[in-house]
Amino acid sequence: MNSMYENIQLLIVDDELDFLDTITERMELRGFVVTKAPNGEAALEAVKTKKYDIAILDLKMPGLDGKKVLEILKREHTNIEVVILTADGSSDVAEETSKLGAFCVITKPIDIEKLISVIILAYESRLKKDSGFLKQDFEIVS
Amino acid sequence: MKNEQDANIKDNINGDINDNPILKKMYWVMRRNYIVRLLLIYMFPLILLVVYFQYQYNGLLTKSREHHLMSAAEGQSRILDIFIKERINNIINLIDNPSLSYPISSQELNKMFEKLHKDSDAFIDLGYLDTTSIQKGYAGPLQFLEKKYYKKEKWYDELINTNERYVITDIYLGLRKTPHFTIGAKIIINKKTIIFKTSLDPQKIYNYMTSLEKSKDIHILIVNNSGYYQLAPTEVGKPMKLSFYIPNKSLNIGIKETKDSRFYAFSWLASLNWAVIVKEKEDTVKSYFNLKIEIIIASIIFIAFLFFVIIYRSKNIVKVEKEKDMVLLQFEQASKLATVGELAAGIAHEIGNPLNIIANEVGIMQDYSNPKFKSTKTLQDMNPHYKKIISAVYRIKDINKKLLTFVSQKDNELREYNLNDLIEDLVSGFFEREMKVDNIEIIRKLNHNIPTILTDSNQLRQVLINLLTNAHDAIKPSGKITISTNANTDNIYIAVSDTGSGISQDKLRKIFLPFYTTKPVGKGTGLGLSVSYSIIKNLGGTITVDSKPGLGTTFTIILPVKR
Repeated sequence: MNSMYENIQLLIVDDELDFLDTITERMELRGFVVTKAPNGEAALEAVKTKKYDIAILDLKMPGLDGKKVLEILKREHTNIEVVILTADGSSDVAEETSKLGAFCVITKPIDIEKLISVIILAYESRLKKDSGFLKQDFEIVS
Repeated sequence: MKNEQDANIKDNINGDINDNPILKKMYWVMRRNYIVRLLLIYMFPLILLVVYFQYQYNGLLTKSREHHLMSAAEGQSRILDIFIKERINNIINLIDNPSLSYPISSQELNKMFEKLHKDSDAFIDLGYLDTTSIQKGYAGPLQFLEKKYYKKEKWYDELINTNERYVITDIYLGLRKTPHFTIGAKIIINKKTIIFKTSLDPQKIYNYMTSLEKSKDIHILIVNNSGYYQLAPTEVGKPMKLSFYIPNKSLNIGIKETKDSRFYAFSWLASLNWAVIVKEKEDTVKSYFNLKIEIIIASIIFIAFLFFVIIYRSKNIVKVEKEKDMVLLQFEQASKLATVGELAAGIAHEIGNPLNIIANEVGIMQDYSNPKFKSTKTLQDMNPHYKKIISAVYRIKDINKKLLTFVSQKDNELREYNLNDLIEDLVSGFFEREMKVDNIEIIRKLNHNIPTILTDSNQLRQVLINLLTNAHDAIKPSGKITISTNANTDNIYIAVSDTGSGISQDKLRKIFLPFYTTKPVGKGTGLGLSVSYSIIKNLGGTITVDSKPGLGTTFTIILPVKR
């Protein structure tokens, strides 16, 4: 069953270290390959060295906050899907982040099964984008 | 549902205002002050005016009474003077008859008397005597007077010895036992001195005098030189009795007020040593007295009415104040809720994160016990997870506590507080973590020598939350908030400065107005600063703002040390 998720490269960004450690361990238990980032700066550092499929991003963080990170990620790594984690489940957060290109918003406390299903959906979307990108390339070539 | 909630809040506040003994006392003092103030403003001048009016009116009334009496006395004495002068003229004209010869026949004398009686019916009789002082002839109703010896009479002596043609006696009863007076006049016929005497009845002229319209409300008394009544109404005195009052002889006319505020006016006659005394009738005195009483009663009623109006008005004013306070309280309550609303995002974050940690820690322990994951973890390995759960639970508990102290209505009372502690609690409890997440550094510059202050910590906390929330919202993307405290002998200063966007001059003017907000729709209610302003004003202090657009804003709360 591990093989199912091995291909998905996950980046989890959260300043709550207790949460970050535990969720990473749980995702790894389920076969994901996870990179932890305790803040926005670390996340941006991480995407420079490795290609990630999905970033799970906390909104409220000291330093670069989630929105800023989302903006930069979407600008510089167009194909990465970003799942927003927030403790504030108000609708304007969802609206704002989706405008910035977030895949979806999950409210804390999170349900791991729900998170995984969202990740899978996001991954599928990411794959589609990849093929779309190729198609686009192809069209340009032809 | 919402209306019900509003009504509940209103009821609560109502209860607060009416049950709170401090407020009760405050309203009582407020009402007392209003009453005193209104009394001073309206009653005091009014009473002065009424007293002044009374004084002036009494003076005027007295003057008019005096004037009325004096003019009456003068008029009456003039009437009497004219009457007497006319009678003298009558008799002088009668006897200055060249054809008169001595002795006078009784026929002639009767004729003369008839003539005299025609001139005035006051003449009772006419007689004549020679220097032997024996009445030689008499015409009139009392024939027994003929041959009467008059030597003993005072007037006879007087007339013989005077250069005047006539003398007038005082009123006496004489042999006929009715009050009358006598005019004696002399003429020399054939070198012989003949004396005519005529008796006059004063009652007729007196009746005329008293029957005049202007004599209606007065008694008219006539006294002689030595103060004996010549004529007097029966209810005041009888002729020949000593008068209650002897007029001043050195004055022609005068007025006197007795101790029981009765007035007498007198006027001496020109023709003889009589004086007319004019005295108000008791009814008149009483009517004046009643008039005074009526005016006093009217004044008292008017003053009492005004007094009740003032009492009622003060009650109303306090009622209005109460309602105003109630509205303010509701307003504060509403703003408090609004502040909570503005804090909601922060609170959700603060509670959501530990909840998330708990859920995950429980989740991972479930994972460990799930055979699917083939975990080799022992119970020992669970310890760090338990610890994380416990610490997360305490984080929530902490926030919960802080939240409750903020919304709590209970200890809404004045107590001694160290403002540094209050600020420390608030910043470390509420703001520090949230601010840090938003890249805002809170710097405390607390002067640890500031005195404690008697204040309402809940209200002050609300003001500080408002100021800190505003500072937070003004800072984009990162900055500093500096809270400083300071004091001098009179005041304590709390300054909240931010390095935010600042406020332009035109907005600065409107900043304390209710519902004025520059925050996005749904973010701000525009109540925070206006309520903060009224709270600080209620606590006896002031709140000022200083801002430089682009550099930041400083709000300064100034609270008096002694209240």
